[in-house]
Order: sequence, then C-alpha cells, then structure tokens
Amino acid sequence: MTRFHRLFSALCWACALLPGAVMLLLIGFLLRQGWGSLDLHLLFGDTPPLDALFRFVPVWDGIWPACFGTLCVVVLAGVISIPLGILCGIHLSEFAQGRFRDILSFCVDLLAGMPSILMGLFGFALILFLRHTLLPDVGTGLLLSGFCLGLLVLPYMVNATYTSLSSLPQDLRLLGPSLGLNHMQSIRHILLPSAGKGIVSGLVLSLGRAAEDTAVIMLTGAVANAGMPRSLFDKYEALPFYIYTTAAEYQTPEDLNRGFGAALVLLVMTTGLFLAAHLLHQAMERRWRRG
Amino acid sequence: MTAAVSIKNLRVTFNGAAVLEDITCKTRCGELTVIVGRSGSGKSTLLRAVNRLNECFPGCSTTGVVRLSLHDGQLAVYADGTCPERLRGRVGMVFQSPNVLPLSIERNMLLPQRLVRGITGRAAEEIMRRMLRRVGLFDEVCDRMDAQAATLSGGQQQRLCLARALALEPEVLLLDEPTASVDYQSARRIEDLLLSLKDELSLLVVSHSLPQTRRLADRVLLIREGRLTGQWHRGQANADAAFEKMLSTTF
Repeated sequence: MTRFHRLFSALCWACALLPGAVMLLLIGFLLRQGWGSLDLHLLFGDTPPLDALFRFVPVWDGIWPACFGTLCVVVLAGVISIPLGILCGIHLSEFAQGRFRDILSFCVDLLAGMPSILMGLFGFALILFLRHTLLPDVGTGLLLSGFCLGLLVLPYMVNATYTSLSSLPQDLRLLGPSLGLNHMQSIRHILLPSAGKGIVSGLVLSLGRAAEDTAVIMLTGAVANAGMPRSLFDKYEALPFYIYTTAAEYQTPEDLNRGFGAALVLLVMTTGLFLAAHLLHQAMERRWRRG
Repeated sequence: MTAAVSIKNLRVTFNGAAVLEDITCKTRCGELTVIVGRSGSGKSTLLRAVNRLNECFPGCSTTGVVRLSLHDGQLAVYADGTCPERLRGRVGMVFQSPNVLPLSIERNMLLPQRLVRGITGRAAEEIMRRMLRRVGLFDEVCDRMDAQAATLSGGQQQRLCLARALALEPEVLLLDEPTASVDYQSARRIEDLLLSLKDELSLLVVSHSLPQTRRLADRVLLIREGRLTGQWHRGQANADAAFEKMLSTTF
C-alpha cells in the first residue's frame, strides 16, 4: 500500500468516526449540563404529576405543556406530510414522465432548500390573508404550525419515497407485471413494502426535523406561557421554543440548566418517535412477509 | 396442429432504435421452442413481446401481430381490447436470475394466486403444494414454508419461481435463460421439468447453451442482430445436419 493510500484510508476512518464522536460529545455535554435539573419538578413544577397528566390541572412552572405542544405539532406535521409525501413520491417514481417529472422534482428540491424562517413567514402571511378575507376571527395556533411544519418536512418524505422506489432493482419492478399484477397491485404489494426501509428513514428524518424547528413555530403560534392547548386553533408551548427563550433570556445558571434539561427531554422525545417509527416499520414488514 | 404462438412482421423499438425487425414465425402446441442467438441479438425482447412485458420499459414501441392459441380461442396480443395484465396472467414468465419476492416461501406462492386469480385459503394451499411437488421442491421446503425464499439455493429459488408461475395455470410459459444462474444438477432438473411440461403448455425458452438446445428443442428460432435468420424443426428432413449447420455460427 502506498503512502497516499494509507493516508487516504486513515482520513476515511477519521471521517467515519467523526459523526459518532460528535454525537457522543453532544449527548455527554447535554447530560453534564442538564442531568441535575432533570426531575419531575422540571416537567410539572409544583403541580402533582398525576393531576397534570390525567386531570389536566394547569402546570405553571414546568415544561409538560411544552412537551405536549411539541408532540401535538409533530403529530399534525406528520399527518399532513407523511401521506402527501408518500403519494407524491409514488407519483414521481411510478407515474410522472418527461418534462412534468423534471418540473415537479425541481419544485420539491426548491421546497427542500427553503429556509424554515421563510416557511414561518409564509404561515404568518397566510393567517393575515385569511383574517382579511375568509376567516376574520382566525389566529395563529397549533393547526397553522402543524401545517407549516408539514410543508417544511414534506420534501424529506417525497424524496425518501421517490429515491427508495426508483432505486429498486429492475428485476423486482418486472416481477409484478410478469405475474399478471396490475400497476397498482405491483406498487401496493411489491414495490412499496420493498422500499419500506428507505421510506421509514425519511419519516424519521421528517419527524426529527419537525420536532426541532423553532423558526416556523415562533411565527405561527408558539408562545412562552400558554399552558395546555384546548383546541387546534389555540396558542401553545413547545420545547424548542422554550429552549430558545431560556437560552436567550436566562437570569441564573439554574435557569440555563433547566434549558439543558429541556433539551434532554426533547432528545428523549425524538428518540421515542424514531423508535415508534422503527417498531411500526418492523410490524408492517412482519405482516407483509408472513401475510 | 394449431399454432401456439404466431408472430407476423413484429418490430420492436426502444426510443426509436430498432431491437427487433420484421420477425415472422410460428410455434406449435405441444412443442418446446428454443430461441437462440448471441448476446444483445434481441432474444429476450422477442420473448417479452409475447407477454407485452417490453411495455414496462420506457420508450418502447411495438408494431406487428402476435397471436396466441389459448383454450378459449385465439388472442391477439396487441389488439386494442387486450388487457396486458390478463394476458400476463395466462402467459407465465421465468427470468434468468431467480426472481423471488422478498417474502417467505409460502407467501411467494400464495400472494400471486390471491392477487391474480383471487384464490385464497385451502384451495390456494392445495395448488401451492401440488406445484411445489411438480417442480420437485416440496420435500425440500415443506418443513420451512415460513422461511425467507431468499434463503434457498439458486436452483431451489429458480424452481420456486417455476412453481409460482405454474400455480397461475398459464397456457404459455416464457423462460429467459432459466438455467443460466444455477448449477449443473439444478439445470438438468429444470430441463427435465420443462420436457415434462411441454405436453400441457406452449413453452418458449431462450438459451445460450448448445447442449441444452439440442436436448430440449423441438423447434429453434435463430435471432441475429434483431432479425430471424434461421429456423429449425425436429421433424424436418436431415434434421441433425441442419441443426449443426444452423447453430455452428451461433455457439
């Protein structure tokens, strides 16, 4: 092996280790800063946890409303982006042709490259437009945030579905038609399950992106002290917004550590969502394989 | 004897480039027809023209007439009213590499039956067992029907593909180099199976092997650069000499 090859190989090794090392460093740092403040008081303040969870007693000094708000907004974004993204990806891969496909693909790429603050501004402008035209009483809130976050992460779902489907081997694509399956049966029973792993990766990326975004929600309905949202049109609290405001306005080191504690909670929440997506995929794959 | 597959003036192009040109030929019921020719000569395209599978590739255009003799009469493959999916349900196909679904052995057999023929439950399982026995695979897999089909050996996978195609009860079976990616023993088993099937089905087989063509063929179609340049039939005068003469330039 020449010296160049050895150097190149070592560089590749170092680059392969880098993401893992950064990840460990980040989690270690968060644990060091936030572990001390990670307790039930951080979540529920002075309110008894069971009362907060099951009797909806207001929580004034804890991040439980922010956790709930984040969960709601991520679920809403998922409800909007997952079916739309998968269907759009299927269309791009299986039905769209020629120039139309190129244009559609370009639009998806453009949406993927859009800064999230622009999506927040779009949501804000949309609500102003609606107030001046069709719905004078409407305001920013959970639904608007979910909608804008859904649009923000839509390209991840589209691209994941499109890439997974179009990279399936030609043999597998011909198998359905050769057996007499129509195009829809082939997509439903052979191609989509085969592309499932890639689609779930896109789903995980989308949910993670929706959970961490701050720019969109701060312009579309997230506030510092809203308590639990009572409807889809209510203002709400969210963990990324809480972390942002704490980091920007903390008065004491304890305040800042609570922010780190909230970041740890957000990390646990997104990991939980990833795990749920993974388990869902495994269950679906098991069902597909065994019938 | 009736023509099983009748092809007239067939021309297939991909994005304007002709791959098959002016193919006219007939195969007979109860015969095994082998299509031979060098790589890239258009053998697989000819095979796929019979079940309209070329249409799954972008830029494909087909002109000419392909007729099939089926139990309920003649079927014009490229007529306006012919549904490609229903056609492919009656014209089975087995590919060069074993093309199993990434599912269990059982699901590989049952899923197409449910989707294409609407057969489920015990009836489908009975057909599955019958076809697995037919290809000599049942005893090898009966205790692990839940195992992934991909865990079988190459030869077993190819026999599973054959059983899966046969379970749909096709009237014409197309095989694109079915023994190219399996070992010698498996190849012979598949050849024996094809010989046993030819009384029930019309068989069109693409082959790259001279000994295999000699063993299997009742009729040979020689394709060269997209054109049919020779035909041979076992019943013709001086058949052996004609066979050697025609194929000496191919293999």
